[in-house]
Amino acid sequence: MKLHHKGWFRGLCLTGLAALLLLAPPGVMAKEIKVGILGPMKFVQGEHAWYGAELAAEEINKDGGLMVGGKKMPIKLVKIDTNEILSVMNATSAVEKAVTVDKVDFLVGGCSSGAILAMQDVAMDYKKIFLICGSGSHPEITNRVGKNYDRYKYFFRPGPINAINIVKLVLESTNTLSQAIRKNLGIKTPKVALLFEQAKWLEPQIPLFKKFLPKYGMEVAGVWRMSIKALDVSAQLQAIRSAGAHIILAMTSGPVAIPLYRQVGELQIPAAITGVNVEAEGAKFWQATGGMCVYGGLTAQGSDVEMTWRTMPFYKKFEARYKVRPILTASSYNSLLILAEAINRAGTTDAEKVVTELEKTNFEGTQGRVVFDKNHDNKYGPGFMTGVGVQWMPGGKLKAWWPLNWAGVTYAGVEEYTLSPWMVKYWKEKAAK
Amino acid sequence: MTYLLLWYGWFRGEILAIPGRVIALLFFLVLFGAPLVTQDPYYLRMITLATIFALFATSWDVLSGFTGQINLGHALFFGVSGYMAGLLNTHFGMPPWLTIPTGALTGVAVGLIAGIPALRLRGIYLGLVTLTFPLILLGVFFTFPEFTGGELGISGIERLAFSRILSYYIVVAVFTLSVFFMWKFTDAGSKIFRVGLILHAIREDEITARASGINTTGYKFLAFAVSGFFAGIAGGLFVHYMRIAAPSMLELVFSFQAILWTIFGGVATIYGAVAGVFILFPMLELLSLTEWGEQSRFIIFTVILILTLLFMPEGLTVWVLDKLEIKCPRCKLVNVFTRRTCRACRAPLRNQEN
Repeated sequence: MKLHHKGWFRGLCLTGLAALLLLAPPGVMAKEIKVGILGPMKFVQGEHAWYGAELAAEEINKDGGLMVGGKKMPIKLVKIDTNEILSVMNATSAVEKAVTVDKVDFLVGGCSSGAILAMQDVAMDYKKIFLICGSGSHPEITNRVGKNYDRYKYFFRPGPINAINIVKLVLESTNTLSQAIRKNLGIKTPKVALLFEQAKWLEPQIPLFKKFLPKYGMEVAGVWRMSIKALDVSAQLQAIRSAGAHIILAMTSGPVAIPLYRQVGELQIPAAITGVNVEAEGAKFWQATGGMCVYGGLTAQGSDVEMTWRTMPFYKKFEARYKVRPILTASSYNSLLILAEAINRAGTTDAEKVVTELEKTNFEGTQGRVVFDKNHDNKYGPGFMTGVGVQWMPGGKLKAWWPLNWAGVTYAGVEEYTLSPWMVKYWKEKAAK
Repeated sequence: MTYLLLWYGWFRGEILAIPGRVIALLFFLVLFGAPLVTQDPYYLRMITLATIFALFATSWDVLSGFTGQINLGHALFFGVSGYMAGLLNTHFGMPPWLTIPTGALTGVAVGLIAGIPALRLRGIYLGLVTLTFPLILLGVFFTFPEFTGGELGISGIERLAFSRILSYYIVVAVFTLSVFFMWKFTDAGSKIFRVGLILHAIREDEITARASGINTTGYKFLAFAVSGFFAGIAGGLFVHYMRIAAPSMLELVFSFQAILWTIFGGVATIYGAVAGVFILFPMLELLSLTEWGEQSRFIIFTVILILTLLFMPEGLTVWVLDKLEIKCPRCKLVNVFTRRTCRACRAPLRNQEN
């Protein structure tokens, strides 16, 4: 009877203990905070997302980790291969696996807008905080937060700037370039050739550029299209030369960037090139074009100029460690640090409290200051997230040329766009005639 | 009591005496009982997706395996139906029980329209034409992004059911009924449809079938419609389960997956396509749970496929059933391999000298 009583008492105690464990706030029993880093890990986008997160985690864990429940807790990264470039289904399965099998507490990453929308739904089903990094600019991703806050409030976009703001960024930087042309060549109304790859994401941008470029004192010389995988764009470039364009506004995310920039140099097209070009941001672009991309410019969302106090140390550290220049998705570094600051402020990993703290974010990242709007999208403009214009110079170095006194913003080391010598010669000779 | 005994007699003779059917029975028991063993969302998701893909692969088997109409663009039915279900749900608020059959009927209609020019061709030429259909449709979808969502697809589609378990059982139930229908539809000895034998005849020798007075074009259209309908059902289930209709549903790789799964399991069998999906799809998923598996899972997948094609050219299930079952040379009744004489006519099942 006595034994029986003891068994009953022990059972009650164990049940009570189990109930306490179940009811305990998240993070109290955990020894580490698990963050799933999402990305197509067999591709450079995923690889750099992992590298960026790795650097951030090391910085966070250097001091023992994050303050949760009154004690320090380290961050543990879990690599989640989403394969999202090839399959949206794989991406959603990977998020489900990350949450249910790997038991991650937070999610950081993703690189394709379509896959992010699908992964977002899975993450929101589990009320998991999900921050993307560097890629996935479609406005709909964050518009969902505004439309259905209760469901999507766990989602944040610390970067990149959204597609609408990318158009603003390109317009502003092209305007600076047009001022350089006016000053150096004496051309009052520079002509702009729109050279876009044949991709659907660019379709809505064409009317926007056509509408707004004249408002900045520029004239649209025409619209030319090129295949994303084209090996030869000389026909388009010759047509642009014939149209008398002074600026080539090239928009591409694909490998056509290599023949495009190479042929602008080879054919000595008398126009300054700029625009959005993912390939041309890479360190291997100079070699890929055989150095013929010289004087070719573009607008990027980050580069190794002092956009903030974090930019240069990050680039130096990244390049020293991985022997490669970081691409967009390496801004997982920023996303993870933003998340860490919010957890520290909340003192817990409880999603609701961390969301409240994330909404208060005011973070100097490597690409600008991150402040979230009501849709949990990063704010764009001077003093917030912007971008940087860069240009390949002789010797294979990238020089920054924008922002140059744009709404009072100039980063250290930014100089005026250098027009190619053949362009200057061509237009000066033409003016003399 | 008499009915019970009669039923048991039928069950014993028609199910328990045939190894293939015992395996099928066990498979369905496991499928329906899985949530009783685990309710882990990841594993339930894996089985649910495998079930949807099994339905998709089986529908390909009806058209290409049984009827011999090589379809290399089967994703057309899957994608059209999925997109239609997604559009009806997001634009008009129609519930899944209405969007899925409507989407499947749209898939059938598109399949039949595509079939008019395509069925003038045979063999690999038909295959090449069907290959282009999903790609053309993909272009059409990209042309109207404000309606189809362009490269982002349609998101925010309503869930299949309010709980995972209910979604699971809806998918499994639809799959079971569909597979049973397709099995009976293609069965050469079926007394319900009486179509299977004609489909076999068209596959083996279309000219002879036509010379025998069979309207081969009509039956080929019928096969296109039935195959398209069930691929469409799979597409509808898929978008309501994933809650997104994405352009990747129309990509070539999706069409080829159905072919790979079916060839691995066994073409023109129905159960081969099901087995192919339920072995290969979870295998790839489970391999991704370990780091070395994640790195090498596609190499393992390729090696398995090559070995299967080398040593089991008719597919895994055909090979396994050849080992487990033996057909009576006299009455053609299927017996378990351990028997020496036929369970019905008592004829010796093997050569006595051996």
